[in-house]
Amino acid sequence: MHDVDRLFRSYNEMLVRYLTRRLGDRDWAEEVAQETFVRALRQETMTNERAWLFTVANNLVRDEARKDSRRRRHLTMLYEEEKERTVEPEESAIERAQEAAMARAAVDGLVERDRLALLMKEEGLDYSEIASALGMSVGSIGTTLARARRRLVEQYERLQQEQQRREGNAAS
Amino acid sequence: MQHLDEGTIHAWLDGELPPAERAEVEAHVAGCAQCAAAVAEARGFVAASSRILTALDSVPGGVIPASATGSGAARRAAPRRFVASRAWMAVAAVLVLSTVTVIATRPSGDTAQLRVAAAARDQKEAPESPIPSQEQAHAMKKSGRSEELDSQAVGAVARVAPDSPAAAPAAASAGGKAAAGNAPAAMQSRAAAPSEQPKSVDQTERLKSRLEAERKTTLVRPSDGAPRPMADAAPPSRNAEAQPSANRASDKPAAAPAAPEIAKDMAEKREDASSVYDSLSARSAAIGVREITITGRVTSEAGAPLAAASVVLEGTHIATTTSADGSYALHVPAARANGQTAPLVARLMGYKAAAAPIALADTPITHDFVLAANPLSLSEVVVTGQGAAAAGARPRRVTGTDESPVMVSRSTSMDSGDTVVTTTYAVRGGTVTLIERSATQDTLQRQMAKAPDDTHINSITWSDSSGRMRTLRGAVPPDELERVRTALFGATP
Repeated sequence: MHDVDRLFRSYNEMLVRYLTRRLGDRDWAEEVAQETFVRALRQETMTNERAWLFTVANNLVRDEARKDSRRRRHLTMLYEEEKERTVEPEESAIERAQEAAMARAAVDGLVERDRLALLMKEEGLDYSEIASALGMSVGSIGTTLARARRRLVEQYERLQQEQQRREGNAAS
Repeated sequence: MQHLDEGTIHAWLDGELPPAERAEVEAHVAGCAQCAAAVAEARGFVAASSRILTALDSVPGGVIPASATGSGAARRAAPRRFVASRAWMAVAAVLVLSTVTVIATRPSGDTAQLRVAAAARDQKEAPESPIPSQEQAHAMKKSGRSEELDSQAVGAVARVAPDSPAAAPAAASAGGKAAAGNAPAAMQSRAAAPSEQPKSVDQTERLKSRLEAERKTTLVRPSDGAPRPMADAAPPSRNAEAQPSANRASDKPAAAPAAPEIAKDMAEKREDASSVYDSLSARSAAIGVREITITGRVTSEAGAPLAAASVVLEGTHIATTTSADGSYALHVPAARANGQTAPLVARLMGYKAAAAPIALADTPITHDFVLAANPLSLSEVVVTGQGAAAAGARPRRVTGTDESPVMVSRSTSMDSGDTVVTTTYAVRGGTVTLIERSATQDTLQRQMAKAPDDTHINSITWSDSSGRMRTLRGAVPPDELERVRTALFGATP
């Protein structure tokens, strides 16, 4: 049994941020993170804690997504309802939300492997950890990240331009 | 060395190359303009993608309602699969994985001790189990007084972890007082099993039958010397006895005539237990789990319906505006209604705002507002424009009297090649809609020729120097329209 306190303290924030970025849903992210730590408790040995946690979290998300798509839809519906009832956010919030939405769309546009590699890199995992979490060779991580970053930025810029075009239309 | 591939460049920038390779790359980049450019580009991608990923952290506010209860609110609102709340994660973990034995000794020094053993027997099932500690917990009675079992179990569980989200519903359900109807309420009390209601009832049953089994064992076992008041009573009565509650406590002395002291003690215990239930169920009732609907009308003192008045539940982002007949309907999601009282405020330009405290407990709630006219009030109104990123659309501060139209909404659409901007303003007595059309001369003339299509709605159409055609329309008197036009665009030529 592992020192879950330490694991939790060291990695929870990182894991939740990673999962939130990946899932776009903080609650869901927190749940997955919790479940990951619960599993960590039962794990006898871990050669690399960080890589192990991210691997388990990835698997949980995958299983969850498979089983839970119906619930997700319901949740989305609730969110929509909730949004309808809320008053218009102020301007800076709109801008931020737009940015976040574009970022989300750009990230979602990546293939799964690229996306995960990028998000894990962003949380400070090194190439060997990412490789072990994704079951890839260390040598291919550089290429994967290069592709992921390029695509992400290109897609984001494309969305940004579209957005500006729309706003230009609206302003005229 | 041939030119660097993108992957190597990124690995280098990420500090992931072994020293030898790193030196090679550095040397190559120093002497190769093409690769230096590729490195510069890669740096750009690294920085930009990092920035984009950071933007993901700004999760829109509407998605996870921020409230006093934090993200717990959202958690309750939605079906959840994993249940332990983050804060309790460590507690739950301990309960799941270790065997916890708690000896709860009564303050009276009574020999009756309760041993609650939470055995982690089904560890493999644990992830599927919403409240492992609850599911796996079983109480073992040490002394011979079986009839105390339930009440003690409840009291002890509650004492073991008075605030534990897992223990609270366990305590509530063990006594059977938290019936199916109360179960969701118990969840609301920061319990960790929001959507698993049927399951938790199921667990209650399981726990009960386990207790039943323990009791039977106890009955056939010779007592440890202490009197067994219930030993001779008919077994079927045990079921009833298993439901500790305040009124049950009065049955107690009759059930144990031979041992009045013990009976007294047990009655105390039952009271303890039932006070736990009472506080839990009171809390549950107060909390409520249903979405709360607040409806009503906003009228002037003269009884005229006031349209476009804003009705806001203060302290939340829940707001609406009244429709043409002055009616409104607000829906407070269950997650936001914790039985608290919040002021509901109705506002409309030219009228005094009215507030009413609304207890968010029952549904539906009806509240009508009568707004007193307040023509003298001078107020500042901040008008916030949509289309945020466009230059010049910064929030404008409009200082003026109540006579100022207040923008309610704005939208842009395309119509036969023209951009049409539709803006709705709240004005005194209703709303007016401004339609601005960047029209070609043709369209302009065609539109100008068109008569207002609705006789109940007045409208003025004019074109300004920029060739933009504007139509102002609304169910307000013509002179009000004219006034709004002047307020918005100044004196017209």
